[in-house]
Amino acid sequence: MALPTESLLTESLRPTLVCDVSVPLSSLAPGSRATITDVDASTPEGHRLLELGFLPETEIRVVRRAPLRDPIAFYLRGGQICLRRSEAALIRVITTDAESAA
Amino acid sequence: MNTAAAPVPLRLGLVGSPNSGKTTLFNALTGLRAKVGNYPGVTVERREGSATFEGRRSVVIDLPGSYSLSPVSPDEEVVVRVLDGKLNGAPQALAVVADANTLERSLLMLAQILHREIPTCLVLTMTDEFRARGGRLDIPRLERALGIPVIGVVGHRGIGIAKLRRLFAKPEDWSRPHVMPPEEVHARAGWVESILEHVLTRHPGRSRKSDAIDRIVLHPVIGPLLFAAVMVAFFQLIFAWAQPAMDFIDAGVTALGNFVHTQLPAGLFADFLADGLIAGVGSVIIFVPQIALLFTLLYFLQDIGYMARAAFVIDRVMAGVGLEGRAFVSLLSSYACAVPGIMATRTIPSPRHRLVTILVAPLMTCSARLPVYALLIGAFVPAVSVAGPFGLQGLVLLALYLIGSLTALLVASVLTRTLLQEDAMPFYMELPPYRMPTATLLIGQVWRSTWAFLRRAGTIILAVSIVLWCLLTFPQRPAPPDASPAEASRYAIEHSFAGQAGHAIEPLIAPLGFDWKIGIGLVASLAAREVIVATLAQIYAATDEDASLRAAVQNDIDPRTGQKVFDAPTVASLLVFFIFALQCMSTLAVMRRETNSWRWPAFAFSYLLVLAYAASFGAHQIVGRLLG
Repeated sequence: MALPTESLLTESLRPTLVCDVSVPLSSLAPGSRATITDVDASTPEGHRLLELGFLPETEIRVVRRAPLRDPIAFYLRGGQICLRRSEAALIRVITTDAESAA
Repeated sequence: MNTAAAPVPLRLGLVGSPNSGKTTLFNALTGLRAKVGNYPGVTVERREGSATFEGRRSVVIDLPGSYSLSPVSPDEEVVVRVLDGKLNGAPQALAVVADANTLERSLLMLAQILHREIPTCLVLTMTDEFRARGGRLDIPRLERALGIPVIGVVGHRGIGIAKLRRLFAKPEDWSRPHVMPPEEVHARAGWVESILEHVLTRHPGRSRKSDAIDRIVLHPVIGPLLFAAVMVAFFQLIFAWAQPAMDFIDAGVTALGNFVHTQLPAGLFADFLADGLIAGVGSVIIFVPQIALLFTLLYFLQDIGYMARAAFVIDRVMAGVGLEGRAFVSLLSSYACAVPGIMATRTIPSPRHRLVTILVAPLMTCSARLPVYALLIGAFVPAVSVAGPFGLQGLVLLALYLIGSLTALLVASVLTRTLLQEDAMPFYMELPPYRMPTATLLIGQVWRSTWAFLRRAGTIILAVSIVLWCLLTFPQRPAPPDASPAEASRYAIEHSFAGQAGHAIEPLIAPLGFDWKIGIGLVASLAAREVIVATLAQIYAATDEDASLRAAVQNDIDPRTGQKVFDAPTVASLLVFFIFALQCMSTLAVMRRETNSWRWPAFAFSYLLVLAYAASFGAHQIVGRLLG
């Protein structure tokens, strides 16, 4: 059986992983692309997020914020999903493009 | 019965996430002959339908939508308990229904399901959309990798259904996985990844059509405006479109009652048939137009994908009182009637949010309060202009609406902070691609929900109507011989059990400024708020409910004090009482159905009664002081 970590890390991602530090998913601007590094599974909410597919090494894209800035819509694993900002803060990511600087 | 001649039908469970197309598939397999009920002890809907696969009788079980077998929501808990065989009728075979576009997430749950060692197959839905978005999938390879049968279908067009029926006829022959997938969540994700790497030759792109619609629908400025427009239209349609049908039913029931009175000899049997049974059945079916219309609009907006967007737009506002976006629609519907409003809470996945929404829904000013408000405001609030076109009567009505709505939000905020504190349910909502629902899917959903209301709440409403009729009719005392028919009717109600109750509670309601006549009205209005108007008409022996009743209440003098019964403090107190009190057995019956216990309707009734009493007392005192 293939090792999960090996199969997920594409060559293009590897350098970014090394030199970047993780930030909470809630801090990213719409349009940013990122890769999940860690989910705080100490709370039931965090554990739930893992079960819903917010797993380390998953690619994720911030689609938009609601008009009142909360919740936030994300695109991952072929679908669009929204979380409140407090929940997105449990997910640490590293950005994989420059758009997030905006 | 010979079991060999009629073998026990095969039980086939459909498992899958919400929005996976499970319901469309269920309808395609079973038609509209589904049995709808609740799982014992929980409020989760249980749906089973019979089907025949290649001559083999089967029962298809539509298990609640679930993202994982590590349960958080009550829906998911039910799925786990059914698979464990802890709820009656565990399935002998499972079909995991997965949207081909979000296959990755579905395989995470499939890995858990395979460990149950129940014969399992995978049904991929929305394969047309998947191809249109540029996705390519090697199904035979996926079958080999998983070790179980895999079939692609387009549920609403019936593509692949015949093949599925052949497969479902013989679950004993389904292949089983050679190697079990890992159980731990990170390892499971790796397993899914390694499989998809080999079978998913091209990932589907994002739905361009949905993205384009979202840019308008969720636009920071246009989005909220559109939301407001949709909600106003939604409310208007429930109010306006249902009204003719409701008037028609009302007129029909009245006509039928009159017909019984004219055809049968006057007496107890005719009274019971016309005023007890027919009126009771009428009080149930009067809700059908509103409920059917609400569910049609609700399911349409939900299936098309807008409801999730609406909840996304308004969630921040509802979070302020501890609720979530999806509660808004329910509270808005409750302006028309709390019965469909409470039924609409089914779209809320968190049991706590759902319960709080159910408990505050009766505070939204429903249409049944309008006849009461119309009588009191018409009789006692002068029709003077306050500022330009704004009359005092209209402003009082607006104030009554506002007080109710603000109290609902306040109570929700208190309940979520005290009694019903946070459960471990993150706000997680999918924004599915926009999809046009088919008419058959829509009709099926509306029919099942309306039928469920008629069967579950309808029987309770009918029973209570009959009990109340008895209370207003017995014991029977002969009226004085010289009494007119109106006076005889007044005499009968005053000496009935309800009349005695009105007298008995007079000391309790005296601090609110109510006399025994209002007391009888309050007892009778336990059936439905507007009944107080008809009851007062009967007590005042008024010949019609409009002009003569208005005059009668305006001129009624308390013989003990020589003062008017309906003075300003009493009118204010009565109006305030009707803002809060839960005098509606239909609401209580539907609360009982939706929460599966009498505990919550009892709680709602009690807290609203205490609130109504306290607020009425306050209003009576304040208005009394101001004018005194």
